[in-house]
Amino acid sequence: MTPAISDRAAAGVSSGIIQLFNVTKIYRGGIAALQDVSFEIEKGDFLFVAGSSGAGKSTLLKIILGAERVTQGQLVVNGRNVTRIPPRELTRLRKETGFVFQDFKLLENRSALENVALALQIHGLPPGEVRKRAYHALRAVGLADKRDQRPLRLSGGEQQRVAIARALVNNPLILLADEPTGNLDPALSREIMDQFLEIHQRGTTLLVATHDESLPAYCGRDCIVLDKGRLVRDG
Amino acid sequence: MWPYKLYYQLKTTAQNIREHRATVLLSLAAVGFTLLLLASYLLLLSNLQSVGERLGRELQIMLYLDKGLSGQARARVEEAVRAGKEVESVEYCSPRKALRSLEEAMGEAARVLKGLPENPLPGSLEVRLKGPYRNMETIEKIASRLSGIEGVADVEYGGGWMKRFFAFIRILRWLALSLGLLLLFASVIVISSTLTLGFYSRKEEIEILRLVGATESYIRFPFFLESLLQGIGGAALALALLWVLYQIFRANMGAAWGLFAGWGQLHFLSVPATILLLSLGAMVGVVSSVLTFSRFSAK
Repeated sequence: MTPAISDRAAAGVSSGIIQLFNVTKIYRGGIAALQDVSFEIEKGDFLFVAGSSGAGKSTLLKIILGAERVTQGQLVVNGRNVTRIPPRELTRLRKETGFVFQDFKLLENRSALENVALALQIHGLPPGEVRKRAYHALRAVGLADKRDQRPLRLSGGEQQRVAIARALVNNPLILLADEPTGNLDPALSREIMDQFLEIHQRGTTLLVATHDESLPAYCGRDCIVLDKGRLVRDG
Repeated sequence: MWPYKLYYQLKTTAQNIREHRATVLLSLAAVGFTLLLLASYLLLLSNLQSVGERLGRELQIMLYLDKGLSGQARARVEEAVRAGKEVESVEYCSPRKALRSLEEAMGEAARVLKGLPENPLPGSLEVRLKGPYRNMETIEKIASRLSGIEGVADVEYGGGWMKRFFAFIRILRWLALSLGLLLLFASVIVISSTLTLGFYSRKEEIEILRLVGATESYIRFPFFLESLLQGIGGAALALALLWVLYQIFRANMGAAWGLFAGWGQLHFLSVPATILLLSLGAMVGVVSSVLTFSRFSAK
């Protein structure tokens, strides 16, 4: 990311993997979650989005993933205009994008391995291949020995690492994380951040939403700040 | 790739059914009993229809001749009747033969006939029509034409009660259609509710699948399959129950039915009717899933 990201996006001079041009998102009832937000992230970048609760961080990630529609403005992700994206393209976009949630979103009635496998099965890979790749993904986050455990038998940090393994198992170009350490203590938070730094080293673009302003400093990465849906600090 | 996708979807369907087996069984029973009502009705209708068809095949026209008609005049009447292309055979029954038959039919009570000063019965011609003409509409027309022949006093073909019988079957058919639609609608509601429960209990999984890039068809197919299985399963259950009830009825009431239906023999639903019922079950399944999906898409 360059310091003047919003200027470059606004000027249309960009080569970013994620580009927002004057994006506004208004929910039903007239609640403005994002207002005139412009910035871009280049391929392989690692950027934090900070802000208090209700600042629009989650909405920002959801619109990048295509889970919410933009009300105004343009959003381009990996060369696709998400504002006008047809359902088939949206599915492709999501396959290229990993997502990690604050509440992990793991299925309690499935083992860690089965939770990770879910993201591979949708591609129609053979069961043996699915097991192998899910196992490697769990090993990459240090949980190979816990592969048969159900989520409730794992600690919060371990559950989040299973969620990260699931998000990474398809080798996504982009990893979005919404408050990934929101439910974790500082030690476990740093563990997750180390994991993200490692993922970044492998070339994945990361965008992490957090209300904990110490995390960007710990990772030594840039941070944009949202306040009431507006971009107040850029890079 | 698609065979593996199908494999995972079938696995999900089996898992769905296993996890909600109580609800699924309840829904299957409800659909089964609902379709049993429809199937029973179809069976009754089908048997009554067969009775009607058989009676139609036995239909014949009775021509009562003028009293004291000479042999020559009777031969002219016979000739005129035979001239019709619809006529298969004509048999003369003399007044004496008619009286003998009546005496035989009355048995002991025939004594009352002994006191009669003369034979009151007229001579008659039994007219049998060719197969394709043995239906109410044609018989009515032919009977009306034959009644105009000189020497014919009266015509009878049991038209009155046959007309009422066929009108009754027509009403039953309309009732079957309305009742059928109502029962199918009820089945759709039952399956749709089960499916909705399934959707809610797997809400999180569906959300995760969407976020990791699963297509809507990938997510919906297991629900569609479950719904289809419930529809066909319900119809199969209805047929099985009906078959058992049919066997019980035949063992206990078959003779009574034979008496009521005259020549009629009881029969179970035909193969096309069975296929129709299973297809209706499948259709109920498909409609239920489409309805449920549209409700969820709207949300």
